[in-house]
Order: sequence, then structure tokens, then C-alpha cells
Amino acid sequence: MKLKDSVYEIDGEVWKKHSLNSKYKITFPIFEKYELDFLPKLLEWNNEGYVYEYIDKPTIMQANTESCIINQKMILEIKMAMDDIWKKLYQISIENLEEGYYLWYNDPHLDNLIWFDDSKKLILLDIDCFEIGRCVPISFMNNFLIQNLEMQFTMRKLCEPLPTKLWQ
Amino acid sequence: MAIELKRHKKLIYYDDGTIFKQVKIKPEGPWPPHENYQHLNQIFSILEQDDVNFIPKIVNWGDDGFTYEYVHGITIMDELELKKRVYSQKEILEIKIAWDNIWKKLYQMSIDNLPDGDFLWHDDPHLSNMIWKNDTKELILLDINSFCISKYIPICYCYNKMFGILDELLRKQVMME
Repeated sequence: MKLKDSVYEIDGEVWKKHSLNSKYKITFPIFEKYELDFLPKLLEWNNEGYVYEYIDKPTIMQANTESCIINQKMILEIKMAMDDIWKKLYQISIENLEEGYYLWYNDPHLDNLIWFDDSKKLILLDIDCFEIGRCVPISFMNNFLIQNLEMQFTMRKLCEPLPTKLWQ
Repeated sequence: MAIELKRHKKLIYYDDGTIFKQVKIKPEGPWPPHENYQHLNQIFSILEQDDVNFIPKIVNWGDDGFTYEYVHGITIMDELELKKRVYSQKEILEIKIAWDNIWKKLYQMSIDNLPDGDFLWHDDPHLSNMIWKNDTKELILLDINSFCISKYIPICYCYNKMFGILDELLRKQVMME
């Protein structure tokens, strides 16, 4: 089944083509050294793409579109879970990369994230979207994730209810 | 002896190493006070319960203001402006980790002490309101009366206020290399 462009689900496994300029040749061997509970289980990879275990749960974007799940408490909890991931990535960078280089997740779009509210776990789906560099765009990455969550939450509150005279 | 500086009109420095900051903790007159001040009594009580290490020690507080212990060190903004220092990416990430730990602590304090849906947070994480201790990896928030309680928190705004400058100065330096 096609999930989206270049992403297919087959028998409980997902095959995804590598993104352009992906650093997978560096990051995947590093990830295999750790038990990272914020990534789906990576099963196999080659120069074309990679296979990971399918997680049978909607992304944050899908879940929110269906039933407006996002609230302030959830935003804070997702933020804290992402902060823990940042902390882990910093540690991995210190242990595995040349001094002055850091690893970060470059695509925290809500359609790339799965949130488990009961265990407060955040899963990052696009495993090949990790970036390595000397300059980490912390503000930008934070806006990418949190501003999106805040907009989903606040726009719902700010736009409802519409005064009937506006459209009558 | 008490010293009052023109630069900080609301601050009085005492010989014993404490500082008094004037704020109206109780509402006065017909006008509502700044919304943060309504909560200060409650906030100081919560902060006092937990032995938090990310603010100066609060000695006492009353209706006119509060007294806290002086913290040695210069603010991050003074480091940038006066010493023309550019923080390295490692330091910025370490400051972020310390800042994130403070958010986590404040969230836990909110869950433990406030009604469901209310959250405690710092409303003014400007770099001139914080001291970074690189040796102990501690971040100290100076503007204690900028803590507030609300149902909505502008997380992005707070982060940009703090990391926007640090990010940009480093990026500029790397781009110029």
C-alpha cells in the first residue's frame, strides 16, 4: 500500500526511498549502535532506501485532523519528549562525531511524528532526515515543530465560534 | 548600606549581598496590576517548596516587592554586548539542555501544585535576564517576577526570544569564515 510518495507499506514493514542529500550512510550505522526508542525499528537499508517496522498509529497531523486532539498540556509534553531526543542526539554527537559537529532531526513536521499519549513517547518517522553540521538551527527547528502545534491549537480556539452575522 | 542605581531604578543593592526588587504584589487602586503580579504570592510559595537551583535564592517577599540573594556572574547578553563573545554550538546546545530541564521542572511543579490546565512558566527569557555557568552547566533566571501562571504558553515566542540571537550570531560567524 502506498502511504505517500516513495513510501510503501508491505506486510507490516515500510519501505522508503532516501531523501535527497540524506546523511544515512553516516547516521544509520550510528543508530544501529544504540537502542533508540524514538525511532521505528530499522530492518534493512541500501543505497536506494530503507525498511522499518510499520507503526499502526496515525501521525499527530492525521490524529488532529480527525479529532482535534492537540491541547496545551499535550504541546508541553510533546515538547519535553522532543527535548529528551535533542539531549540524546547531543550525547550521540559527542560520542560519535568529530568535535564541533552535531546531529539533529531536520524534519519535525507533524506528519512525520507519532505521539503515544499514554507512555508520553514521541516517534520520529523519517529516519533519513537527520542532519549533521557545525551550526544547528535550534530556533528554526523549534518553530517548525512547536509553532505548528501551537497554530493547530490556537487557531481552533481563535476561530470558533464564528459570529453568525459574518456569513448570514 | 543600600545602593540604588539609576540603571535599575527598581533595584536596591544591600551590603549583605541581597537585592530588593520593587514590584506591586497586591493589586492597588481601581486599575488591575500587571497580570503576572497577581500570581506572585502563589508563585513564590511554589518556588519556595521545591529547592530549585535555577533562580536566585528568594530571602523574603511582601506587598511592595521581594528580596533575593545576589548571583555572581554576568548575564549572557552582557557577554555578547560587552565582551563581544560568540557562544559556540556546544555551549548553545548545553544552554538549551539546561533551559529544557527548567521547562520540565516547571511543568512538574504545575502538575503538582496548580489546578488542571494551569501552567507555570517564565514570561521573559531575554538573554539579559539569565546567567550561564559553564563550569557547572547551570542556567540562572534572574527576573523572578517574570514567572507567571496561565492556561496558554507562547512556547515559540519564548524560545525565539532566547535562541534567536544565539543562533544567529553563531551562524553569522560560521558564514563569514
